[in-house]
Amino acid sequence: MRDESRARIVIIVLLLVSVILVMLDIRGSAAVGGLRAVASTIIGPVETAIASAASPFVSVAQSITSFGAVAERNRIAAEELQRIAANSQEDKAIATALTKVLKTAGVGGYSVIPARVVAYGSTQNFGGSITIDAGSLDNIEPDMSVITGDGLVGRVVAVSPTNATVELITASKSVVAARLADSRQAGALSGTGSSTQLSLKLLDPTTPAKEGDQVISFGSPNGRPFAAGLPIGVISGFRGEQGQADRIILVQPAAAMSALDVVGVIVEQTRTQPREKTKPEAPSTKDPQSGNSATSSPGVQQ
Amino acid sequence: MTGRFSVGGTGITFPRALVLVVVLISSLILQVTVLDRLGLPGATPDLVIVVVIGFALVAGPLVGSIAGFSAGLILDLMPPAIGVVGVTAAILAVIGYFAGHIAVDHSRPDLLMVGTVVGFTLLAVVGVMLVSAFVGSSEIYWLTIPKILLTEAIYSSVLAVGAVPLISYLYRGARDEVGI
Repeated sequence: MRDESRARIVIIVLLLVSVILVMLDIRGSAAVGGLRAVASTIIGPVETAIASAASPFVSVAQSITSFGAVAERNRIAAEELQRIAANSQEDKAIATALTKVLKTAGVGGYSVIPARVVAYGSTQNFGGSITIDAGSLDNIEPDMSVITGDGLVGRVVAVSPTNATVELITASKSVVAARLADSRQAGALSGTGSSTQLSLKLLDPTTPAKEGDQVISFGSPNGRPFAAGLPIGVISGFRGEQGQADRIILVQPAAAMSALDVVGVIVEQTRTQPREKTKPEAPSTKDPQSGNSATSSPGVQQ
Repeated sequence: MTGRFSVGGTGITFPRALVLVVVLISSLILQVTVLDRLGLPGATPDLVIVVVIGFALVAGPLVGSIAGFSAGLILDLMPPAIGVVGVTAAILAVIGYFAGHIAVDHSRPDLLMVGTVVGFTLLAVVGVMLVSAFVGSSEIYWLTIPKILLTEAIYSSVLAVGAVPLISYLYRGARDEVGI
């Protein structure tokens, strides 16, 4: 019975410590931040090493789990096994994925740093986060956008020297400013914790939208946390009618969020979009309002 | 007839502590580098929770709660965790404490043992989900939850069959040493 009372005391102490940690972390305590930094500095490289050792195994499993049809599974598994046998072919696959990443980044003239996913957060905490094998030594900073060849994946939330943690757009606490590619209508795109579904609320709920419409990122100042114009996904369904204030548009992410491997971190974008001073043609009629006073140089227009 | 009572005392000796540390750390690393990346349908197989419950069943509430707290704290801190530090630690400590009070035969994979592990795993998963839902947005796609729980039950039963008897064997096998 002495054992039992000892266990009771220990559990109470442990719970108290947990509560204190939670409160410190919510207040943004430097001590907890330091603990996190130490943990990721030590554990990050271990994750990188083990992930690369387990990579062939995981990539076979991923390709099996991310396809539906049984025949397809067998075909993919066979292909993957071949790929493992010939290491150069694995490199080729990575190169293909990288080329695609670069193409996506090309949309906005962004410079990217390539990285591979070494660890995943679990599904059941709706967290949706990954660790990548590039960090502050590779010039990666918090609030940079992360993409794949298909589209936006998330943003960097924490960085250690050799690794970085990325919050996925599917995380339940992630919100991305997005817009419909066709109508340019803006809205807030939230994660749902599901890897195949995002929920979009447009600022103007009367906007017509249909299944298959493209959703792209709206962009933030200086491209942080999200660069502008990156593909995010396509509309896959609706909850509520057009015009209903709380209408939710369901969006299927373009990137395979549950099987991420090669990603790119956007480190730099064209500093300012190339725009030249334009001078409107001199009005032929006597309309003094037709000139744009904001862009005109003083003295040109009277 | 349960193994727990044959342990005697608190049962923590140096080799046993070593077994605890090595098994916990291996399961943590395996969890985030392999299991979480497999992209299996539904939930993610939760080896760490199963291992914590395994130690609780084998060694009782004291070891169970300490194992749960340590594993949870590391899960909270290690990348790619982005949640609030201390939450998983608290949930796993409580799970380890209560699982430590259950007396089942943990040396071989019988139905009662697997059922106990699955039950406690689901409790832990529900706890983690509730907390995540509280701190996350209100946009959670609730329809996925039955699927998550069902698949988690299947995965954890498979993990329990393999991991718990192994923990039982390792932990009880490491007893013949001077205690600390």
